[in-house]
Formats: sequence, C-alpha cells, structure tokens
Amino acid sequence: MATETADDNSLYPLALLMDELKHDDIANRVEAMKKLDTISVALGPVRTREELIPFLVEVAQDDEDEVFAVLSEELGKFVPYVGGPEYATILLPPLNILASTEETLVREKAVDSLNQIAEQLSQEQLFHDFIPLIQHLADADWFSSKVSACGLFKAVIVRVKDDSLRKELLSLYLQLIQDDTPMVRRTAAKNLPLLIDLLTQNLDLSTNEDWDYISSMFQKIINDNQDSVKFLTVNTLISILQFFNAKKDYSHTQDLLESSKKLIGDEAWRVRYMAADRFDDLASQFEGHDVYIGELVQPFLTLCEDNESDVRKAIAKQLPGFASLVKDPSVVSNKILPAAQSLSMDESEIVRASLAVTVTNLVSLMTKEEAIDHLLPILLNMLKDEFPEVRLNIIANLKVVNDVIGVDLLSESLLPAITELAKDVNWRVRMAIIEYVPILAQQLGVQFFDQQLSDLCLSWLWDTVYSIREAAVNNLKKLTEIFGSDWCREEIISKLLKFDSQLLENFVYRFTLLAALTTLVSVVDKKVIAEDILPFVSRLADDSVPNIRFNTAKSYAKIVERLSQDSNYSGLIKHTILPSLEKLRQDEDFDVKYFANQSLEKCNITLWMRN
Amino acid sequence: MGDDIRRKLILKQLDQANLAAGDEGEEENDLGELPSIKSNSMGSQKQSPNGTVPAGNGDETTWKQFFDHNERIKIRNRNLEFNTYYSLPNSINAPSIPIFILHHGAGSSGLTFATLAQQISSQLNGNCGYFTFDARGHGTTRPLEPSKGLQYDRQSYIDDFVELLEQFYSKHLTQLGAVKLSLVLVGHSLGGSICTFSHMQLPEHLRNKVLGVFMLDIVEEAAILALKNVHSFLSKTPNVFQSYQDAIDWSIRRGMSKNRSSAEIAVPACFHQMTSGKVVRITNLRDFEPYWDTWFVGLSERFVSLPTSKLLLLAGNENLDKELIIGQMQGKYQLVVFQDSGHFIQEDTPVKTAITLIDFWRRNDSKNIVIKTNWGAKNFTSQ
Amino acid sequence: MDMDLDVPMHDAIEDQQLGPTLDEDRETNSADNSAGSTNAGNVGQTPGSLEIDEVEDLHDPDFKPGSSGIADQKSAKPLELTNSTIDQLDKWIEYLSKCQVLSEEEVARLCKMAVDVLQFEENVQPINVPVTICGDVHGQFHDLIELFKIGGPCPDTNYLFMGDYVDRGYYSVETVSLLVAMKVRYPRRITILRGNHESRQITQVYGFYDECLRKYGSATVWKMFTDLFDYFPITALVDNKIFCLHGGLSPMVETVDQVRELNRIQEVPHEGPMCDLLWSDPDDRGGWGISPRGAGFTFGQDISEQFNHTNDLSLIARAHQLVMEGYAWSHQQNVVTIFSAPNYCYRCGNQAAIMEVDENHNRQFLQYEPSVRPGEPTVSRKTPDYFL
Repeated sequence: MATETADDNSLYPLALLMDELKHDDIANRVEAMKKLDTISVALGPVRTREELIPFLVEVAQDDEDEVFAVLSEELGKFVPYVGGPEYATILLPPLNILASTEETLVREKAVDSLNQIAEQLSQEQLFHDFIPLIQHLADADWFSSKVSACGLFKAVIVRVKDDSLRKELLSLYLQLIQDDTPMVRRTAAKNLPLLIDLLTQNLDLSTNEDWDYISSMFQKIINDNQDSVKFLTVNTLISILQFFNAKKDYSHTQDLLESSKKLIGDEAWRVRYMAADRFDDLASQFEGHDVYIGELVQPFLTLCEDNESDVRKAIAKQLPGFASLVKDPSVVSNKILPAAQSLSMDESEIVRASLAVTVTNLVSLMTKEEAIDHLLPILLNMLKDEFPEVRLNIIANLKVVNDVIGVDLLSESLLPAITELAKDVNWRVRMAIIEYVPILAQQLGVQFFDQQLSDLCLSWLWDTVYSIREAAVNNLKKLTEIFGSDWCREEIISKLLKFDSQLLENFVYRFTLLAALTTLVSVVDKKVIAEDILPFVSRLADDSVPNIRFNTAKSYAKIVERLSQDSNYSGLIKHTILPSLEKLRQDEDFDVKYFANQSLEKCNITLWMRN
Repeated sequence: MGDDIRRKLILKQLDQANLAAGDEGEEENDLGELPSIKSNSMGSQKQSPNGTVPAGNGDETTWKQFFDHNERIKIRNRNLEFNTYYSLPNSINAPSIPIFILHHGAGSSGLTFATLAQQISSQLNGNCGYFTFDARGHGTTRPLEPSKGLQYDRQSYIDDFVELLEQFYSKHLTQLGAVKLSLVLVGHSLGGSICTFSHMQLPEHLRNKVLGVFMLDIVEEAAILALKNVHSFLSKTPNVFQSYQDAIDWSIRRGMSKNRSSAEIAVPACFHQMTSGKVVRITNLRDFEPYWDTWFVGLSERFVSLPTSKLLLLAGNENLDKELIIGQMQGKYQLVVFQDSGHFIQEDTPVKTAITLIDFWRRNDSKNIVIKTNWGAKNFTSQ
Repeated sequence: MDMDLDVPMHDAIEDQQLGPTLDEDRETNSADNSAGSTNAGNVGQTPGSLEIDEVEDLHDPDFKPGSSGIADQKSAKPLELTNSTIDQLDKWIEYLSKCQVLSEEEVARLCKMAVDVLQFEENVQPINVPVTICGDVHGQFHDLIELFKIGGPCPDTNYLFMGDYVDRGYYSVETVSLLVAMKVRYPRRITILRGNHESRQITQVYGFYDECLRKYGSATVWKMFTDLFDYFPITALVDNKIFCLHGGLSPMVETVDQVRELNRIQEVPHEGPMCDLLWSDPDDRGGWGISPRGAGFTFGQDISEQFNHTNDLSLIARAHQLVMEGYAWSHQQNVVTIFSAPNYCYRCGNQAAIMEVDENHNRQFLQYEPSVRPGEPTVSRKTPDYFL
C-alpha cells in the first residue's frame, strides 16, 4: 500500500464500499449500505453523481432484499449529496428499480424515499421526471411496480395546478383501482383517502370532473369482489363525507348515507368490522341531520348483535359516542341501553372488556333516575365479571358515574370486586386496583373506607412483590392527603406500630414499615412525626441489617426537613437525630456511612437555611 | 465507474479463488484453470477434467483416496442395490475403536463424507472404521426392479439404514471382536433425522453398541421452513452442466461448497455423465415432495429425549427451535456451532468436524473414560 | 495505478473475521498435521477439548485475554469510591436503567473500575443474609427490570446473581453494563458470579459478540467485557451455609477451601475444576457422570449430600439449567436450581424465579412472568437455503 498515489487514496472510499458490498456475509453488506452517506460526502457531489449512483443502479439489481431495503432508505436522504434539488432526479432511476422489487419492505422504503425526494423537486422536474416515473410504474406488467405507483400520487396530486394533468393522474389512479391484481387494488384503495384528504385541505383545487373520477373509484371499491379491498371503502367514505361537509355541499349526503348502511350491513365480516371500528367517525359526519342519524340507529343495533365477536368488540367501544349523536333520549334508554345490557353479558370476555372502557360515559347522557334504574344494574353486573380486565376497566372509569349518582350505590358490588382483584395472582392486576383506591376513597368517604377498605390497604404492605409493597406505601400517603393527619395517626400509624414483634423479625417487614412511616412524614403533623414516627425510626438505627440502617439515615433527612420548620423541635433534632446520624457516619458498612453523610449534609443545609 | 476499481475487484476475487484452489497440485495452480469470474453464464469455456475429477460413475481412482472398499450390496426385500463405501480399522490393538456410520442428506451422496472420513482416519492413525452409502434415490444406489417403484418416506430410509447396518456389522465387524468397538451414528441434514429415528429401531445388540448420535446442521423448525422454499431454491439450481468441472465450479461460486477438495469428490457423485459429456443431476428433490412432510416432524423432541449421547453440530448461526433450546438449556445434549461453515459442514470444514467427532467419541466412550476425582478415600463409581 | 489488492478494511470488517478461522484446505494438506497438533477454531457451546488459543494467537493477536487494556493499570487495593465517581456511577445506572447503552469510552472507564473491585473478591465470595439469589438473565433486559420490581431495587435489596448475563437475549450489552455499574457502585450490596456464558468463546456463538459489533461498530466493548469476566468471582458462600455457583460440583473439588486455591483470573478453561463449577449439572443418577453438554460433569444426590456434609452446608444454590417453574429442587433439597429469564429466548414459555433468603435463613421463592413491554422485537429467523 506504501506505493499508493493520491489518486488511489481518493478512490479508497468507493473501493472500500464496493469491497464490502461484495462481502460474503450479508450483515457486512447491510452495514456497508448504511454508510453510504459518509462515502458520498467523501466523494463529493460530482463523483457521487458520476460514479456512485451508476454503481448503485447496478447493485440495486443484484443483491439480497436486506441490502436493497437499506439502499432504498438511504437514497431518500441523498438529495444534498448529489448536489441539491437540481440534480435530485438522478436518484429516480435506482429507486425506480427498487420500487419494482418483489419484497414489500424494499418497495415501501423506496416509495417513502421517492416521496421525500418529490417534495424537493420543482414543478418542472415533477412534470418531466416524476410523473413519467409514476406512469411508468403504473403501466408496468408486474404487480409490484403498480403497488408502488399507488403510493406516489400523494406527492403530486395537489402540486399539479394544471387541471388536465391532474385529471390524467386521476384517470391513471382509476385504472389502478380496477387492476386485475387484488394487491394493487388494495393498495390503491388504501391510499385513496389520503388523496381525498389532500383535496379537502386544498378545498378549491379540485374540479367536478375530478370528483367524477373519485366517485367512479368509490363505486369500484365498494363493489369489489374481494373483502380485503372492499373493507377499505369505509375510510374512503369518511374522507369523501369530510370533503363535502367542508364544502358545505350536502347534495350527496343522502347517497352517502345509503352507502354507509350498505357497508354496515355487508356480508363480509371484515367490512362490518371496519364499519363498526370507525362508527363514531362515520356517524359524526351526519351530525346535524337528525333524520340521517336516526336512520343509523337500527344498523348500529344490528352491529351490536353481530355474529362475529371482533365486530361486537369494535362496536362496544362506540356506544357512548354514537349515543351522544342521537338527540332523542327515548332512543338512548329504549334502544341503546338494552344493547349495552346484552353486550355486558356477551359470551366473549374481549367484548365485555371493550365495553367496560367506555360504557360508564353513558351516564352523562341520562338523568340520575334513569342512570340508577337502567345503567347502574349493568355496571354492578360488570363489577362481578369473571374476567379481571372487565372489572378493572369499570373501576378505572367510575368517576363519571360518581359525579352523577354517587358511588355509594355501587358499593355493595364494588367491595367484593375490589377484594377479588386485590387477591389476583397477577401482581399487575393487584397493582392496578391499588392505584384506584385513592379515587375510590375520595368518592366513598372516610367512614365507609375505615369500615371496609383500610385493612385491605394495610395488608398490601405485606405483599410478596416489592412493587406492590411500594404502591401500598404510596397509597397510604395519598389516603392521608385525602383524610388528613389525625385519621392517619389513628387508623394507620397506630396500627402499623402495633404489629407484633415476630413479624418484625423479618427484614422485609421492618424495611416496609420504615418506608411507610418515612413516606408519611411529608403528610402528617409534626407532632405525629415527633411522637410516633421518630421513636420507631431511631430504634432502627441500630438494626443488624445495613440496608435498614442506611434507609434510617435517609429517613432522618426527611424528618429533619419537616421538624426544622418548627423551632420547638430543634432540641429533638440536636439531641436525638444528629447524634444518631453521627453514629451512623462511623458505621462499619460503606453504604451506611455514605448515606449517613449525605443525610447529615442535607440536614445541615436545611438547618442553616432555617436560621 | 472507474475500470481500475472494477479490475481491482475482479483481481481480488481471482485471488480468493486462487487461494481456495491453492493446494490442489501444481498443474491446477494456474490462473488459466480458474473459473471465469466475469462471466456468470454456465459453461462458457471449460477445461477438460483432469485427473482429480472423476470421468464417470464410481471411477476407482477417486473414491479410493478416501475409502478402502466400495461394495455394492443387494438387499432383495428392500428392492435395492446399495452403493456402499467403508474402511475397517488398521489393527485392533487400540483399547477402544470407533466405527462411524455416516448417513448423507437429501440430494447428496455417500461421498459427501469422503474428506471427513479421510480426516478421521488420519487423526486416529487408522484405528477406526467408517461406513457410508448412497441412500435410495441418490448416487448409484439402484432399485433391483425399477418397475416396482420406491417410497421416499422417512421410515423407508430408516429401514434401509437399519438393514445395511446389520449386514455391515455381521459381515465385517463381528470378526474384529466386537468388545472394543463402538458405533457412532452420524447424519447430515435428512441423514440426521434418519440416524435419530433409527436409534430406537435398531436391534438391541446393535443399539447397545451405539455410543451416540451426531447430527450435522439439522434443526426441525428450520428444515420444515426450508421445505416451503425448496421450489424457489430448486428453480435457481441448474440440473445440467457442461462438465463435472462446471458443476463443481458452480457449486463453489454459489457458496454451496466452501472447500474445493471436498467439492471435487462430493459434487461429481451427485451427477451422471451423458455421452455428450454433459452432466445431469441424479436426484431431483421435487420427486420427493410427497414425502417431505415425513422427514423432519418430531425430530427435535426425539433427538433431545434419545437415551444416548448426542451432539448437534450447526453451521453459521445458532438457530435452534424451542424444543432444542429447552433441551440445550437443560443440558440434554452437546451443541457446537461452526460459524465459518456452510450447510455441508462435513465438506466445508472436515478437519474441525473430525476433531469434534473424535472428541465426542472419546468423551462419551466408557472404555476410555475414568472420571478422576480427589474426593477423599471414598471412591465413586462412574455411571 | 497500483495493483496492490490488499485494500485495508476498517475495524468493523476486520473484527468480523474472527480469530479462530481455519483454512481447511491448507490444513488438510499440511504435512505434519497429526491429530494431536491440530487446532481448530471450535467455538461451540462447550469449551470442549480443542485448544483454540494457539489459533487465535496466529490469526489475531487482539483476541488474547487482556488485549482490551482494562486491566493494564490494576490498583493494589480495592477501588475507593469518591463523590465524583459515585455521581458518575449514579448517572450511568440511571441511564442504563432506561435500556440505553454507555459510550465505548464510558464502558472502558466502568470496566477499569470494575477490575479494581472484582480482583479483590474471593473465589468463594462471602455474603451475608438477607440476600436475594438470582439465576440466568441472558440479555433479557426488560425481565431484569421486572426482577427488580419483584425483588426490590438495589441497594435496598441485596442481590446475588449466579452468572449468564449475556447471550441469546437482545440486550446483553445493556444487561451486563447495568449489573457491572451496580456492582461498582454498591460492591457490598450486589455480587455477580461468573457463568459459563461469561467467556470469550461462548459469546462469539450466542450473540453477545455480534450485539457489541452491532451496537458499537467494533469488538472493543466485547473485548473489555470479556476481559472483565475473567475477574468475576466463581462461587459465593451465604452465611457459611448456602454455596452458590453457576453450574455445579466438580470431582476435583471436595471442599470449599479447594475452590479458594484455584486461580480463577483466566478464560473459562475447557476442563478441570473451574470449568466444572461453571458447567456441571445435578442428575438423578448417583455418583459422577459424563455431562451430555460436553463439558463439566453430572453429579448425583450422594455427591451433593457428601459435599454439604463435608462443608457443613445446608444447600447448594445454582443456575445454568432452564426449569419451567423458574426454580426446582433436586437431591432432596440439597440442591436448588434458579432460573431468572422468563420465557427464555422469547419462546420457551417458562416462568422465572428468584429466591429470597432472610436474616433467619427462611427461604421464599418469587416466580414471575415476562414483563409487559411495548415493541418486543419479533423473533424472525431467516429461512436457510437447506439443500436437505
């Protein structure tokens, strides 16, 4: 290598890349591709255009898909490396090849890159290079090219100001919409809503002729013999409705309603699923037309009784959303509530869990009496569901119910539900219910809580899973914030301090108690800290387990932070806490020493600031 | 693109090809003999095969470099005449003597083990034996009555294997004094499946002689997935070449063979030469399609639970399926991976494979092994 | 123009060409190639009996133990943490806990510190109760975080990990970096033993090497960690009663004191007592047996009973084997196996477990499932072009 000339050195990056691109191991070739940008920077724009790109055109025809995928992605970032937008069209040929490959991932990345590049092209370049590329791909024999073509129209459709050219593009798209291959039709149908949404954003751009094309496309998809194409009509329909609503043109609304009903009642369950999944979005396009909304009630109810559980699962979530569009309260109580009732007893747990997420929202659509008479029984029943997720979803969303009818009416079913969840074998279910306890406590009130829930809350402290114990500790703090310091002292701290000594022989229990009391320091009165908490903490400063001792040291800092606010306690700090910390500083264990030092430093700063 | 770079590249490739061909002998060590790198087309210009390439089936100068005997065995009840190769131990003076029974995979032939067998023999100074053969539908094994037709399901292969092993054992091994002998069943790919499933079907006196099962590059899940891709694989695999040399070159260029010495003996055995000089692939895997689903199903579970010593040798990346991962993580068998090898491990890396195989035999041979312990006065017996 | 074809490759490429490669053809034809002197680059699951060191030396001197330089300036006394190193370590731990990797330069600093902690630990590291004992983790980072959620955070809970932090899972780098950072920060609160996967050979096959290459672009980080692994203690003794190690017993180790006499600062050997401690398995059959793994031995209940009796132990705790419930007793409660990688390799469907030992030597097992995590990497494997 010693004899290499300067010329050789400048060739080095490309030679290196090529070497690596010929490597036996595909991983090396992929890695080499990822460094393409570095190499092009080293080469400079001229040589990138003249040497690298032609080389890549070759590579794009002879390697593995993994390598193509990276190449496709990299080329999207290449506009600056070839010398800016004016040279960007040189990137189109390799991407054209990659957009025609069989592997979906490669094509998708090539299409993304082409779209990125298109954004930087001038009108002239779009006209001369990009649109011909689309046409070329769309006219290819092979389905893969046509699939790629479908993804490129969005880059140009609203940038074309010339009506006839746009019409030409839409005509080409119509051709793809009715291609022989389902895969092409599917991709075209999938991209159609995007194109329509672009036209909605540029409301005055499209002509009636354009819409004749779009209407034809819509008709083709809705009548497609493949379910996997047809079910994409739902999104297209919503986009079309949005366009005309934005235009305030309601002349087609009646027709589009009929199309909606046709899709909702389709034979293919996948189409019905799509309609159910997007029901709120679809129905809300008819908002303000009460008659039309009324016409959707029966189709809605039919979906609630669909044979397919996936359809029922999708519609179960839409229940309150659609009910809020229905202005007639009698329809809600006589039609929609019974539907909720039967979904709440659905044979599929997935359906019930889905309903549980939103069903409580129905309460805001009815009077208190109606809610008590009709909704409450449903909720109570769901609280007893055998599937934990159903119960959790209801409990998580009880607040709205409480706002209207008060949660006490629920309590009889609520308690067993909570107790069951609190014992669930899955610790995340236990965790979820602990997190709802403060909300429930707020809604249930202190008396009810003390009678029914406080023992449960204390029992979580002794859970085998650390995270549950930690959550239980935080729960006590939140409860104290709700019920106050006196309550905490009487109902919690006194009970905690009364635990028998046998229990405390286990380090985990001592640790948890220390954590609980330390956490409560920030929310109880100073008197409680000084009289109840501090004596317990101080005893643990001599604990045999170092982990307890250094947590005692940490606890002292929190206690001092509170007690120092009141000069009455300065003696206690000076004569009890600081000497104990000093002693811990001399501990034989490094970590105890470290945390004692840290705490002492914090204490000194706190005390200094108070003075 | 600069011509210089292209030239560099090509020269570098030539250099690599040269290295691969490096030690084959004087006359080949010449650029003129090397495959064309520039042209990807088959059979553009080919040298006439020289001495190392067999001129026809069973050319004696070839197999003789690797095996002592080539014997055709007729088995009437199986309607087959098998082409077998074997070598017997030089002497029976060693305290323990391994006999390696080698079963090739689908589309291959017994000579796939040629270089491996040579290695084993040289490393053990001939104090070992080995036996291999062309399985039904492969190499020069032929049906006795073609009109009767043959099945290619796993059980048929197993029955052949068991029958051949019994014959070989009674004919050649019993006379050596069976006490010192132990059998190691070695199967590549489909052959691994056959060895594994044969174990329980061997007659007891033979099973008692089996020291272990050694599988080369076969994982049930991956194999079943691969079967789904066989059509596309076969469509890229030519069945006719201008010459044996062409077939060998193609195999090396496509990375099917990574070791020229092995390819020189193993590849021609998979082809039949026509009068025109062209060579045609003997085994068309598509013919076996109706039987594919019998080949590998249940392999991982059976292998893991086999009541004998087991080793799985994989090429490239470790790609165990669930059963094999659990088995490995419970210490049920030994796993070795050769990252630098292709699928034909026995051809690509015969030296390392031989070392591993011999090591496997030594380690698991109760005749060889006494577990040394320094535990007090009490002596523990080894199991 | 110069025709020299020896175009230099950059590091990543060079490193991909592993040391133990062997030119089979050349080997085949070399004249003095007898079985005894042949060295193959065997990088299988087992250390086997193939000496690869010589081959490594021949092909790539960088693969020699110690070549990373992390142990070039070992301290004569244990690392003393200063406030600034503590701050640094706390930041690293916080960062690593989010499953992010340290820079190469930070790993170098971390490993140097770790050498000065670990070199002073004993072959039989003494440990006090209470402690929580854990088994294999294997790069399943999110499950390690789940483990801490179940058992409590370090340093509040004391931990003993019995090896196999790397390989197979997708986050070996993150997993081992976090554990080592915790070890340096809280040497008295966490103990990390060596497993059979903490080895140069094994990590080249089962993923850690490739992962380092992928995440850092070179093998430097892999070299540093594998050099560090040589310093990990190989066994631990909890309150003189529970003997903890990755694999199992060795026919060459009758007493705990004999472990103390070993020189452990080396690559896991292919055989001998240190290899056995990291590779052996308990077995239903009595006595010693050949291990089906190809390394170490199997040992029966008679062996375990005698070892516990001789050394006045109550239990041998070990990892190394996948057990579907996460833990499993054997040899009439003389041996327990603990495995802490739930749904091993993202596909085995097993539970994981840890064992809490309190200050009164009460034991409690905590089992757990895989953590719930968004965007789990899908296990997609490329179909091989088998020619069957």
